Amino acid sequence: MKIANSTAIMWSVAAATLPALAAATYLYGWGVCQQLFITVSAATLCELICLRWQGKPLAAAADGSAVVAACILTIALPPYVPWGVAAAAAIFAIGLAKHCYGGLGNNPFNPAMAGYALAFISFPEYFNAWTADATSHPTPLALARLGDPLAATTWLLALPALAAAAGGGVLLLLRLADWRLPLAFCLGAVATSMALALDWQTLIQGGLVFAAFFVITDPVTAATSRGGRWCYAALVGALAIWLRQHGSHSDSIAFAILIGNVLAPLCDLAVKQWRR
Amino acid sequence: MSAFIAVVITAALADNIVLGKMLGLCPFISLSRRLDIALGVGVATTAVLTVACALAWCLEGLLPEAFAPLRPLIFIAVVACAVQATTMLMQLTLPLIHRMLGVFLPLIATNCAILGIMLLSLQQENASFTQVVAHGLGGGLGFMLAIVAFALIRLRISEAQVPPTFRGAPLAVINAGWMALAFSGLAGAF
Amino acid sequence: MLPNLNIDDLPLPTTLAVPLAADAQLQVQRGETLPAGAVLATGSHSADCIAPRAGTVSDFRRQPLANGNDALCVILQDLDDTPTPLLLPPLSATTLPQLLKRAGIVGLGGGAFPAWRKWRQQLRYFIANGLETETAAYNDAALIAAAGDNLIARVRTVAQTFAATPLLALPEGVTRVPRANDDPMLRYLPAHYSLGNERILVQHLCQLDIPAMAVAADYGVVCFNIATVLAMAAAIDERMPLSDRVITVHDVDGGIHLLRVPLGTLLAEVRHYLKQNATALIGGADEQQIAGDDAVITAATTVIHWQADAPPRAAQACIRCGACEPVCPAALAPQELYWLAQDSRLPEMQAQRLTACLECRRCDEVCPSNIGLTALFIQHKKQLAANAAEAQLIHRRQQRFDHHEQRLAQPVARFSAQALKQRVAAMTKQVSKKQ
Repeated sequence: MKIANSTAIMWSVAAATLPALAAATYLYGWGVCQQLFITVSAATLCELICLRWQGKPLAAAADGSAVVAACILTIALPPYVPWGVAAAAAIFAIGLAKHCYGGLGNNPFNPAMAGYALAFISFPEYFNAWTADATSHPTPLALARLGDPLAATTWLLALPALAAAAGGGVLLLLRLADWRLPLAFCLGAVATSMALALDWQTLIQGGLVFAAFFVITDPVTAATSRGGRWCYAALVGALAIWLRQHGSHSDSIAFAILIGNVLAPLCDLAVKQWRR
Repeated sequence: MSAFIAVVITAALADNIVLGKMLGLCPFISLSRRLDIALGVGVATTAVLTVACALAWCLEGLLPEAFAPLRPLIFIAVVACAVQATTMLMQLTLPLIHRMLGVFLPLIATNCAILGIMLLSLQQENASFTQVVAHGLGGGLGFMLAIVAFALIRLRISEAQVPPTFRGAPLAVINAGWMALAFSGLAGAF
Repeated sequence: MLPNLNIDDLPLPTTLAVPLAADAQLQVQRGETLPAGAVLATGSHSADCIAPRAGTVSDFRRQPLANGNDALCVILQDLDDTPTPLLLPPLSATTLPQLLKRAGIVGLGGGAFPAWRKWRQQLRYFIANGLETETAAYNDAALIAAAGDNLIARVRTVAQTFAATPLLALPEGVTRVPRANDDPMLRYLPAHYSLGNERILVQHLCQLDIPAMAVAADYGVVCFNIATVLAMAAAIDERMPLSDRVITVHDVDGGIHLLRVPLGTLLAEVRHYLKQNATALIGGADEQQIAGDDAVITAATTVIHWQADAPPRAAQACIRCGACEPVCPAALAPQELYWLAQDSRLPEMQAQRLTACLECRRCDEVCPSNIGLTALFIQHKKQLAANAAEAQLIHRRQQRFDHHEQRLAQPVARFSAQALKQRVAAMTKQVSKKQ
C-alpha cells in the first residue's frame, strides 16, 4: 500500500515545521517570518537555476525539497541575521550541498545543516553575538548560558521544543518519517546527558527536539539499512550533547549531523559486516 | 592508560590529520576510489606511523642540537626505514596481510601526513615516549577513518547523477571540504 | 472483499489460434478436420498441443501472445462444441506422465510449465496451491468456490496418482471449503500475494528451502496451482484434455468478470463479449504488458485489465526512504540494488542476490517516487544472465582450444587395427554405461 508520493512527503514535512516556526515567531518576533521569506526565495531561486543549468525539467522544483531545507534553515539560523547571511546559507545548502551532487536523493550531506554550518564558519560574528541587535529578544539559550534566571523559566524553554514535537509527532503518526531515527537520536542524547550528569533542561534547549524530528529523519542523508539507522541516529544524538558540552563552536547539532552524514555509510557497512 | 587513550582519540578525531590539518590529501583523494584499497592504505599507514613515531622519538634524544634544522630530512629517512621494517616484519609474521597491503606500503614513505604527524608530535614540550606513540597511532587511525568514510561516500557519489562539470576530482574536493567542515565541529571537543 | 465469483462461459469463438511450443513438431495438415482433444503438435519437452475444440485446421501463422512474444499458431475454424474424451491406456503410476502430456496439461498459475515434467518416482508432498499467484487475480478463488464439496476429493485423487501426501494451501479467511474445514490436508495461509510463489510456499508448508535455480520436485515436493490440479483431476477421472482456462477480467468501470475461455481465444473475442474499447493490459495490477486485439490467450494468461488510457506517472528522485525494503518478499534490499544499478555494478548486485528477485512489483507499488524498480531489476537480471552465458561460452571455447592444442601436441599414432578395435570397444562400453 502506498503511503504517499515523494512530493506529498516533502510538502508535509514543510507543513509540519509550521508550529515550530510559529513558536519561533512568538519568541523572537516577526524577523523569523522575514527570514523564512528570504531563505525560501533564495533556496527556490537557486533550485530553479541549478535545474535549468543541468537541463532538468523545472517542474522538479515542485517536489518541495528546497522549501523543506529553507524551513529547517530558518529555524536553525539565529533570528535577525542580515538577509545576505540567510540567503547565502540557503544558496550554500541548495547549490553546494545538493545540486553539486546531482540533486535530490544524491546528496550525502543534509543540505540545511551543511548550509548552516558553512554560513556559521563563514560569518561567525553573526552567529556568536546573540544579543547584537538591540531590537531582538535575547534567545533563551543565550540567556540560559548567561545564567539569567528569567529565561530559565521552563515554559519559554519548552515552547519551541513542544511546537517541534507537535509537528514531528504528526509526521511520525502519518508514517512520513522513520520512527527509528528520532527514537535512536533521543536515546543517544539522553544516555550521553546522563553520562555527563547534565540537567534535563539541556535536552529541550537549542533545537535538539527540532533536530530529532526534522533533521535526523531526512532519509536521503541517513544510513539506509535499519540497523545502520539505529547506529547513525544514536551516534548523532550522543555527539550533539557531547559537542554542546565540550565543543569549541557555540552550536553543536549541525556539526553532529554532518559528522553523522560522513559516518552514515560506515554505519551501514559496519552493521552489515556485524550481521554476517 | 587513560591518558594514552585520550591522546589517541584527540589525534584521531579532534585533530584529524586529513580533515583538520589538511595533510596527506594526495592519498586521501587518489586512493579512495575503492573501499578495499582505502582500508589497506589506512591500516598500512597506521602501522607505519606508529613505528615511525617510536623511532623518531628515540632519534630525537640522540640528535645533537646542531642537526635540528635537518630534522625533516632525517625523518624522511626514518619513515623509509620504518616502511621497510614494517614490510619485512609483516612479510615474516603476517604473510596474508602483507600480500594484501604490500602494494601500498612503499607509497606511504612519501605521504606527507606521516612526516607531519611525526614533526607535530615531537613539537610538544617534553613529549614522553607513550605520548608520541599514541599520537602516531591516533593520527594513523584518524587517517584510516577519514579515507574509509571518504571511500564510502565516493561510492555513493559514483551512483549519483552528478552534473558533468563536477564529475570526478571537483566533486571529490568539494566533498572533502564538506567533510572537513563537519570535522571542524570536533575541534577541541576531546 | 471478493467480487462475484460466478464463472461465465465465453460463447464459442469463430476462430482459435493454438500456439505451438518451441520444440513441438506439427502433427496435422491444412484442411484437416479434427475432434476436440486431437494432438496438433508434440515435442520432447513440452506438453502436447491439443485442439481445444473440434474444428478444421485452416492455416498456420505467427500470432502475438497475450503475455508477450509471439509463436507459430495452428488456426482452427468451423468450431464445434462437442467434447470428446481421450482414448488412453489404463492409468498406472508410470503412465501418469504420458497421460498428463497427452492431455496437454500445463501450469495455469501463469508459468505454463508442462505438468508431466514435475512428476518424480518418489515424492513426499503434493501441494495444491489455492493462493493467487498474481495481484488482482481471482481465478483460484472462483475455481475453489465452483468445485465446492468436490475440491478435497479431487485434490486427493490427483495426489494419490502422484503417490504423495496432499496439502491444500488456501488463503486465510477468504475461502472456506464447506464441511471440510478440518481435513488434514488443509493449510490456511495469510493471503500474501507473494505466498502464491512456489518457492516461498514450499518454504512455509514444508520448512524446506529450495535453492533459487533448483526445481522443488527434485526435493520431493511437487506444487501445482489449484486450476492445474483440477485440470489434472478431469484428465484422470474423465479423460478430458486441458481445453479451457479461467481468467479474471477487469473492465474499464472497475467491474470484475471471471470468464472460462478456450485456450487460443483471441483477445478480440473477449473485448466483444464484454463490450470494452480501451487498452488491454495483461497480467497483475502493475503489469505494463499491452496486448492488441489479435493477441492469443494462452494457458499463461491469468488477468486482463481493460484500462482507459492514462499517462504513466513520472518517476521522481529516490529519496532513500527505505519503504521498499520491508515489503520485499525475497528479503532483498531494493533500494541498495537501485543505487547499484545506477552505477551498473553488476557483481555487487549479484552479491545482493538480485537473481532471487521474484519480479512481484511490490517495491514499485510502495515507492513514493514511482520508480520502476522491477523493470530495472529485470533489465539487470537479463544482463547478468547474458554475461554468465558469455563467460561460459568463452570458457568452452578456451577448453576446446586447449583440447585441440593437446591433441596436436600428441605424437601422431601409427594406424593399427588392434588399437582401433580397442578404442571402439572402450567407447561402446562408455556409451552403454551412460544409457
